[in-house]
Amino acid sequence: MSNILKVKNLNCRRSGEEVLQGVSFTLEAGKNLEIIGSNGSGKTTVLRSLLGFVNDHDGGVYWNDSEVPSTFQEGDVSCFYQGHQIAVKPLLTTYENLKFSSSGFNSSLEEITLIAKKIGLKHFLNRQSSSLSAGQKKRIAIGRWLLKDFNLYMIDEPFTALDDEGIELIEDIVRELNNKGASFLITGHRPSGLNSNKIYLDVKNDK
Amino acid sequence: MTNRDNTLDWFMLVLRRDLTLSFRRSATYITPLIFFLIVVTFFPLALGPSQSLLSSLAAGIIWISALLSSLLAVEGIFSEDYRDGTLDQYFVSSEPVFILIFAKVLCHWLVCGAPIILASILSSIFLYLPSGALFALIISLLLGTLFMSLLGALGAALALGKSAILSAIIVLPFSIPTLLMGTAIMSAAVNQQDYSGFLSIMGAMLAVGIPGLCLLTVEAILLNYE
Repeated sequence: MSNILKVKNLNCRRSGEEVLQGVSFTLEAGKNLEIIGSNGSGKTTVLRSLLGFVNDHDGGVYWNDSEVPSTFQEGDVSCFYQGHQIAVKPLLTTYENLKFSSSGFNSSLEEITLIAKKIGLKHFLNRQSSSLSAGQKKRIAIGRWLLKDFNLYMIDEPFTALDDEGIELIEDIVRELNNKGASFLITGHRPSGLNSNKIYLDVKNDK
Repeated sequence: MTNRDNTLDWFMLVLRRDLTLSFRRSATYITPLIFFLIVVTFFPLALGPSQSLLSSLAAGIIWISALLSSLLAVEGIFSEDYRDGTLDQYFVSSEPVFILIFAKVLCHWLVCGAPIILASILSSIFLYLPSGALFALIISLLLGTLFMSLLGALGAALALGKSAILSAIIVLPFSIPTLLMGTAIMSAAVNQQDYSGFLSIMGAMLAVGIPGLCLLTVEAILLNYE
């Protein structure tokens, strides 16, 4: 199997303060990696520096078995990122929230209806999301993973606000996408039931 | 990977999305319009109803009011998408960000600029703007408000996550060339002179501004991601 992502000794600073020190891991295509740590341990920072949203970092980030460090765009890897803010607009309906997303604009009504059925929101397709619960909004965000095929999904704490059924839903979808060759890089406070490698981050308590 | 059809689809998608959101939240397009009408109405109240005075000031009054009110809602172009993570997802996707910015600018112009142009026709009547200058007013505002939307987007990108009024303060000094050209067109039109030269300069500013300012806006948004 080829490595989609290899991180060597990643250090990262935010406003001059060291947040991450020496993070290293590899992620194979079709496999998953979980970054586990408590609040403030820098889980989000790992994802955001890989995406180039945090620039004050050094260390090697190698995409697609490349020998030279690069950004994911240069490495020709298609990424999907879901942060803590899940980008679900309260004023848009479930259908519009899926259709108007970065991955959904080529999808037809049938495809979107099928996805809505899968995430358990078929009957809410034309309902504005302001009337949905936090967990249902999260399901819309999950539905977006299925709109288009990506090489790598970076999801920040996917399991928060979800009931047991929702967690099962994520596990099913991750398995399905793994079989298509997609990888997941997710964060969390505790290990999940996903079939994945896990790395643990410590909070820096130097003071 | 992205062919031309795809880019057009992407552009239409962002435009449709932003228009849908604007119309569901009616304050976005009503506020600038009402603000414009109120400011324009203040002038005859403050200056008195003298026809010759108002008629000579009309073009300037309408232009300044249009500039100020088109900046009113500028902060909202990016702030919500920035806060709720939509911009993150759009920036990570392989779709061109430049197109995204231009679609958002165009939506702001359709929602804020276009109603102001219609309202300016109405206000030109009670400010006694010479009727021969009405066409010049519409065409100059058409170009001018679009340029203001472009500038406004840049200001909004620079002021992301900071105070709402900051974007307007950043942009106002840079609107001077537009204001000068706009009022030059108007005074030429009122005096029944040829104003096509000024119009061409404004068109040229827009032709440089659409790619130039959109690219700067992309960079300004990226600045917010340390």
